[in-house]
Amino acid sequence: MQQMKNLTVEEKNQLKLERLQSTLNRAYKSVPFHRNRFIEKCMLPENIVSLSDIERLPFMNRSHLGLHYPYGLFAVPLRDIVRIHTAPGTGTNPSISGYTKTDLMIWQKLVARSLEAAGVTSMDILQINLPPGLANWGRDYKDGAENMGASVIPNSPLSLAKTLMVLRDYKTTTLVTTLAFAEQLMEHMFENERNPNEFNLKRIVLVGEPVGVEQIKNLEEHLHVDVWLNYGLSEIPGPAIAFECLHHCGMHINDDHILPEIIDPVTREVVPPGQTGELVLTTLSARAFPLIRFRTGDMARFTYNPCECGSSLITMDWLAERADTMMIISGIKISREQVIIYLKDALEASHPRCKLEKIRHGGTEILSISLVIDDSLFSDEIKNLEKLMVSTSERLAELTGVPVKITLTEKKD
Amino acid sequence: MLRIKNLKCGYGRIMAIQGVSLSVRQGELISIIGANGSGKSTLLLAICGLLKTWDGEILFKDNDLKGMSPQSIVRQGISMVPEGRQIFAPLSVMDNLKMGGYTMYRKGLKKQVEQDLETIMDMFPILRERQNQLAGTLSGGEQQMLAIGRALMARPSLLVLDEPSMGLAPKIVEMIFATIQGLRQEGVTILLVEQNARAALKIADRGYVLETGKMVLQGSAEELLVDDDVKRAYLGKDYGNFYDGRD
Amino acid sequence: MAEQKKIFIEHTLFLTIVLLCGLFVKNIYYLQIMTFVGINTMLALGLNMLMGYAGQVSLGHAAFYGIGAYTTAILSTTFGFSPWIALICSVGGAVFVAFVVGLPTLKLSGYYLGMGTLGFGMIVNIVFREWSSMTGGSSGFVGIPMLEAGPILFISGKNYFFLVWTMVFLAIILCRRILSSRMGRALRSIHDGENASMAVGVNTHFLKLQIFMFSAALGAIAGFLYAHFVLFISPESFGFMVSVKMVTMVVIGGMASVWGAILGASLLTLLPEVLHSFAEYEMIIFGLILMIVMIFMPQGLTRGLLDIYEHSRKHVGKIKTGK
Repeated sequence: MQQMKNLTVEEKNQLKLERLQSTLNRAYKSVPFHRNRFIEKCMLPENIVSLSDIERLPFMNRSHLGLHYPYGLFAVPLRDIVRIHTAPGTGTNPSISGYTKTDLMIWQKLVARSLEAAGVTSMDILQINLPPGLANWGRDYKDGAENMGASVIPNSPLSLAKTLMVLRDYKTTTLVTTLAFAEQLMEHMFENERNPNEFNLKRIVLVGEPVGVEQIKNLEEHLHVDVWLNYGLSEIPGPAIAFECLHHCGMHINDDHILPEIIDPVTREVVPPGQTGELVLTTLSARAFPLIRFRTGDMARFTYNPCECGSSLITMDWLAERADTMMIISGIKISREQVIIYLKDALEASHPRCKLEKIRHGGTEILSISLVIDDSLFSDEIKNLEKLMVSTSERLAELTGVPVKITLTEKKD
Repeated sequence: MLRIKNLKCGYGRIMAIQGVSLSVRQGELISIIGANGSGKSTLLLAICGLLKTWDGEILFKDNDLKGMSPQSIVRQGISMVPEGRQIFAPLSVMDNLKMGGYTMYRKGLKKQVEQDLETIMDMFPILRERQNQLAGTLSGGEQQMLAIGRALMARPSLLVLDEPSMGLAPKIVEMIFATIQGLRQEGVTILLVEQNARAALKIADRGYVLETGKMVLQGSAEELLVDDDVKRAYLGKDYGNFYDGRD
Repeated sequence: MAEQKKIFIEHTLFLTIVLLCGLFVKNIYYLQIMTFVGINTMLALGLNMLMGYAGQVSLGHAAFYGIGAYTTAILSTTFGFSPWIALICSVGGAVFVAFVVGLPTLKLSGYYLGMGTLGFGMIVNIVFREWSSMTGGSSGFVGIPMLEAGPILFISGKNYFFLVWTMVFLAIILCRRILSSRMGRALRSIHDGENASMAVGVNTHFLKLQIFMFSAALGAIAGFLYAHFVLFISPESFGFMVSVKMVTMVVIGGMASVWGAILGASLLTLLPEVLHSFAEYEMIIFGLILMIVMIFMPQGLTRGLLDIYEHSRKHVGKIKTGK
């Protein structure tokens, strides 16, 4: 894997252009979906002669991933796919991504790169605690860490107490987890008056959602650890698309393998450098599942301050807002519209009025729906209503992959 | 050292190369693999100035090679070992090597050329043995070594080889590739075009895969060797089963 | 060293034969024929460098022969120049024309080059025929003066014989010098195909041009010698058929061989004389001989005869070892 540090800007751009062109050639050749989009625009991959030409290409979003289930977006024959990651998706179809052997090889190295930047070495013991929705990332972090030679305690369904035991007794130095779990950990220790110095924990790598500066400080103070943020995509290609280095000056994007752009979500034009917008990603070396101008829905902005770590990778700030109407619960992306459609379906009501929120209950995040009772729902039998709510929330939980809780509220005039 | 962007070229109306970008950095050994008709040789002809016109950009040590004659390109530091060897059959082995130093003679560096002759003949003892023989009477492998020696006489910064394994027996191919690898260890930057993908990738740092005039894949040699497409198309594995041989 | 010794022997042999012929052949007619052999050898030498070594075909080379002849004729007769100065002008003129014509034409290859040179030859021939005020047109040009160098008058016969063969000898040495030089190496390298030579840094176009100009120069000298020998020239002597004859000399004698040029020139000058006695069958036999040589010795007589020689030595060797 190239040491990006040793390349000049020109060399790096050349490399990116080469990878982009071959990705487009492969997509055009093997994925009818991409080929058709080229044809629609009367373009050929060879019309893309510079990195900025990518702006001439159309965008992709999550709905495409669901639409083309199961094999529509694969660029290689099924027998080359050595791993398939699944996620509940935003529609009726699960959303999946695939990897070839080479893809896995590259991703392991990228995860290793992000861990190294966080100071992890082969002497470290890495523990992973991620919710089921991020189980795929759990595997990727495990592979990346193993690749580096670190010891790994992979994701497993232990209770909080038992997890803590393992954390303490096996002298875990690095914890890869979500903000929710980290905060739960912090609360638990606070409540039980445990001393963070009991643990050998040096650092926590947070994944799954943007984290504010305050929250980071909080964690660092109370747990006596360094906190590192990683940014990833649950769809292809995976975790550690961007990572923090020890200067914490923003996140470095692995732009030798992913080409990032920031666009205005409304006009869909690329914004001037430094401005906030929606992050759009194009894979440069994905074999199985090329993504071309995939709208992530995450808001970000590029920062151009040269980082002291000397890396030539682009840096970005990951912001809390979203460009789309998705919610991230336990790392899983849930579309509000989709939930409302489910509700409509389940309740057989045409216009359910509800408020969707994410709340934390214990260590898990759940989707809380405050449903307004109106005449269409009203029923004399409380029992019937209750049964309906229970069955609906169960069904919703199954469909979205996160726990759901429905509470009824009165109509407010 | 060499940077190619969006190269488009061909013969008359047939565009053998349609928008190819690649790069070679100092000290690297880059292999370009591809089937017949993928345009590999055309690509090299364009680099060495043997194609009349091409579109796009070829930069060598930051100099634009557009419109340069083959002679000037040799002087810039690119030396080619052509497809099929193309040694000068009516000349002796020694004369062939001297021809390799043609540009050096023109610069008046006669002594240097004589030293280089010795160096090359040390590198390839068989050439020293057969120095007065007519080049046309050498065996295929010997001709290949002569062609490489001849190209090295020009003291190139970039050595370009067009299908060095073509028409040679497997044992000889092994030897030739070992020679090429040796050159790389001496610090010569090498661009290699080959149909024998396995041999080419084994010694390369990075590789590119060319298919009907377009780059479809690139990466480190390690990545390409495990890539299934490459295996299927170029490394000759049989894919009867659903699961490929996971070795 | 062995190579140099070989060359020395060859040259000595050559000079000896020339000397002997010159001194001991009394018949003027035979001397004249041998002089013609010399002039034709000069033509063949030049063309051989172009065709045999550089691999470029030229179907109009008689044009340079003619330019040499007419230039010296016009300058020394009409304008009264000293013939030796006219020689310099002849050569200069031919070289200049070769430069101008060669520049675009030598970029062609194969059939196209042949057609290009053919066309050139025809154009020059037309000039000779139509520019009658200067050249005398189809009826020819008379009254060319003889050559003098101090007390020696080069009248046809022994004097002219030695003049021609001395110049041929000088040309042979010059050709060999060129061939063994770096330029000659480069020249021989382009024979099989220019790409490899270009890849080594040879400016092949320029090289071909230089050899073209050189062969034109030799052709012009031959033309000069011819003009002051027969003292009368006409366009027919420099037409298409002569160009073909020149090519035939080179091919039959053996391309890429200096002695081949002599052999070919000799054969094609002497054979028609010998065949005169066969009257009406002359052309048929001539054609047959050419065909047979090309079928059995396509590399030319030089190579062919050498092969026979080596073959017979091996055969004798085998007999001796009791095979």
